[in-house]
Amino acid sequence: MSEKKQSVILQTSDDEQFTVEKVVAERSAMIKSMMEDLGDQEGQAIPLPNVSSSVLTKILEYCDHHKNEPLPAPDANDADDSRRKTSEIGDWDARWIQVDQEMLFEIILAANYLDIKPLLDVGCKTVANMIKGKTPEEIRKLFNITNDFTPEEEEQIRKENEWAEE
Amino acid sequence: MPIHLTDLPSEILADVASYLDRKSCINFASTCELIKPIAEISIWDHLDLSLYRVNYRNSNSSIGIKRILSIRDAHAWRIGDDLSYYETTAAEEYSNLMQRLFKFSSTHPEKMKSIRRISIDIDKLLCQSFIELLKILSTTLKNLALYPPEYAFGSLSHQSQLNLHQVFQSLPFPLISLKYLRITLNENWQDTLYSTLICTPNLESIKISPASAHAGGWGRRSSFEAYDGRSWPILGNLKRIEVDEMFEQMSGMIIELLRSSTRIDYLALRDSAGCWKPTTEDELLHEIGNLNNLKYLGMSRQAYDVLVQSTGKPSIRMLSIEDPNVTYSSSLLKPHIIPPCEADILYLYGYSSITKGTTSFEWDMKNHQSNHRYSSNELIKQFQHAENLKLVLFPMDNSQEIDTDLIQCCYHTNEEILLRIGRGMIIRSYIDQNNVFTHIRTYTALHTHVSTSHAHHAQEVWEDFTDLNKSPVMLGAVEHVYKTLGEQKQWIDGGRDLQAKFDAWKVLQGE
Repeated sequence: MSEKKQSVILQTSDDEQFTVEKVVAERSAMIKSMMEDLGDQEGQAIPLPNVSSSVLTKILEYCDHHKNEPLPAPDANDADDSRRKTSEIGDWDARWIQVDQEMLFEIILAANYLDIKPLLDVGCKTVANMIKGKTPEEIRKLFNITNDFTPEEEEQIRKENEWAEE
Repeated sequence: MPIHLTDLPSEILADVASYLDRKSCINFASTCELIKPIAEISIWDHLDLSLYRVNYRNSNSSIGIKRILSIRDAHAWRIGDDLSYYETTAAEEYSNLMQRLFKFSSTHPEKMKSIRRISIDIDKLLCQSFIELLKILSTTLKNLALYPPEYAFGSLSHQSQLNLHQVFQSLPFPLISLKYLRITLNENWQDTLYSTLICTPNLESIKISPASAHAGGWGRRSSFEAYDGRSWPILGNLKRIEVDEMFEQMSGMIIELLRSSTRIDYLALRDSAGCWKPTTEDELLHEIGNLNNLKYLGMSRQAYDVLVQSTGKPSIRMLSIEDPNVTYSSSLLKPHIIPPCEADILYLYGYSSITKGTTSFEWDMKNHQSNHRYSSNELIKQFQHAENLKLVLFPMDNSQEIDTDLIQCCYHTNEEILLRIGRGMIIRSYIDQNNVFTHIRTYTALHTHVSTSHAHHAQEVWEDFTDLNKSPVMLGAVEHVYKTLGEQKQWIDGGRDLQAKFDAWKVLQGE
């Protein structure tokens, strides 16, 4: 019985069930609070209607790798916001997140939904690193963004932000 | 249906933008209408309103508007014959710059609102505009650093130091979001400080610099009036107190600040000149002895010795001692300089001042006379291998320039870096071949930098020790300049820097 308590069942949008160690699942603040709400109702699957099985498999890899790290404090963001944030990513995370764009965005959305802050950070940093050093046109091309500015408008943006330019 | 970047919720896109440097962020904002407003917040967020360098030579080309130019570097370099030229040019450019800035702030208040930090030289030119700016930022500004003008502009009579007392008195409401304040005091220090503290009820960290600290000499100390016994505003959130140059008159005020908050964990009473000579009966020392949550203590060797005598060794994590008797020639790196202490980290602090005998650091570069280029990171590695080195001097403002892989962490505070590396030193060296003078600057009293410089900001050539032509600069040059000039006393007092007309380039050629 006590063994069972150490794991939890997650059910994905495509109705697959995953039996997951609690300590792994708890990386998700959302699942953690769900588990607390469910209390002792063993065998009850936690539905994750916004996450597909392929994405969950990937995310569980991340959670498993980081399961022994301290959970971030709820107010961790408050620390030192006068300094610009670093966009560095740990080695393992960087390798782990080498996926196609589609998967990357799926991971980010799922991390947001599941409330896994460090994972969301890794995802956002990865996107930021893809943007860095590129021209607007290169960014559009990379992410398939349609340009809805006229050249004049684009120039205007540049002008308005001139003060901030390095 | 495949997901696109633009399908991500706006708060996630904002998060992405927050990791971008400003240039990339502007490009990101320029991609499409959906992203523009999201990314633009980030362009202006955390904007450091420090004023960066002005390029005098090309003053007609864009002043750079490299961020917003450094007013401190924009001030005149008081160098020999070029005096009037530099003074006038710098003053005019500065004045133009400030006008543009404040015009911008009045037409774009929403952008100004995202400024979190202002670091600025206080100057009368700013007065009214500065008050307006503070009003706009009263609920958002977090960090305010007020320096004295490096030089009075002299020839332009309408320029002189801003009266902070008047500024803060005329603020209609307090700066409730302000957490970090750095303030420079001179005559009338009590009124100035009082009116400032009344406006900053939620302050967490205060750094006080007596203006004399920056006057080049240390001669004006006596102009600080005696403490008149007034009571000070209560700052219940205060955690850090730092005084650049301790002087007796401030004791009473510091005692009150210490008593007004139970959260003080950082106290630094710098005293490079050894002017504060407390006795074992000193009230402030006893107050320090009673602090329960203190983690970092910085004071002069003599004051520390008296503290230990009167209240015992304080229970702290980091101790910073400065010792005016440590001279340039003695090695700070030898263990005997470091007093016994039970703190985890000892932070020996040398004050770089020609007049007092410069403290600097003997780095083992004697075997490396060749033109080998040392990057700052290589230097750190060197220090990591120096067994008896226990000291850390770290330039806080530039810690982000250190290769974080080397330190193996992402850090948040200066202390954290210290804890990680344990020891290290950063030297800056930047020189312009065409300008044959050398500028050795001590930055904040907390960190001693040795640097040779022209009016170019250190960030330009900081990373590797190269000059502006990307040729390697020998580290020995800095040492050499210090020695030669220090002994010959060719220094010109003025502002907070010590400068000398000197053929830096010759030194760098390896004489």
